[in-house]
Amino acid sequence: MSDHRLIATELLADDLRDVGPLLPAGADDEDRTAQLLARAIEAFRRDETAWEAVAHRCDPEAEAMKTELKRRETMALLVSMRARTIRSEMEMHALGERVRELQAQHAAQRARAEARQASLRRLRRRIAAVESALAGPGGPVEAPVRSASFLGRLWRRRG
Amino acid sequence: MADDGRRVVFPPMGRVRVRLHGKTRRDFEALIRERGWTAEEGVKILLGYAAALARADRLSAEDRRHELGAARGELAVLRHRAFMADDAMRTLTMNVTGFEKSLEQFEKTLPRLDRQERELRARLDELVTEAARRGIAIAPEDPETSPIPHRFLDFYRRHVRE
Repeated sequence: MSDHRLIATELLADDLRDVGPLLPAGADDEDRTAQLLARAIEAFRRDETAWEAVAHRCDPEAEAMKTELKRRETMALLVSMRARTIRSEMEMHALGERVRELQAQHAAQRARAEARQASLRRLRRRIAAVESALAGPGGPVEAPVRSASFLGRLWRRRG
Repeated sequence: MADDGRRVVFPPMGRVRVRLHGKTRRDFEALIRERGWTAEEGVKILLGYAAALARADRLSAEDRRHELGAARGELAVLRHRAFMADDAMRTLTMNVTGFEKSLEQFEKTLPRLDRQERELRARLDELVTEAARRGIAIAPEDPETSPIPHRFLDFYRRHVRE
């Protein structure tokens, strides 16, 4: 089994520009980033120990150290949060566009369905009017041949 | 495009790929497990940590305090924005599902309405032919006649459909 683990992620281009000059020399970007990461892990662990040492102290030197350690951690979280927030907002925006497209399609289909319904109503009224004219004062009218509905056929069969 | 028609521009993003192995991989995995970060978050945070460390020597005590205050403020705003975006996405996802279902339904309903319309037209043609055969005059259609009173339609549109 390979010991390697490849991780791909994204950062704001501005943040990435700050990281670029910190990468050690070398040809392979993935490897150079791993070396920088190794140094960052080492510093992070060292700072955790430093925090333990000053956390309960209130002298000016300890306060200055605490401020610096908090600054480092907050700045690091900020880099991650910027990328995460912008990515979420991009996805939200894309989803909003998709909703707008679907809304337009939906409105068009609804208008089509309403036009069909109106047309069906008009045709039914027209058929009723013509049927009434055919059955009018001219006497009993032979019903024109029409295809019987399911219920009509059932009724006739029962009769 | 934003709701008001303006084009939305996002800050550019850049891809980062890192290949971890051996001790670095083990240390990285132990740290993200302890902190509850995902691997992607771990990479971003640690790269940010390296950048913050690199600035440490260039800052006075006063600058550090100011930078910490500003960073905390920005972090709070970003967390709120991310929360709002996630919340909006939940609603938008529900909208997408709703519209897609509704469009699926239209795909089934519209052919049925088309078929009904064709059948009624054929029926009307039969009747009109029959009337002509018998010499019965048929009054022309009044396209404006609606069997539903307009006041009711207005009420329906205002309170039921919208």
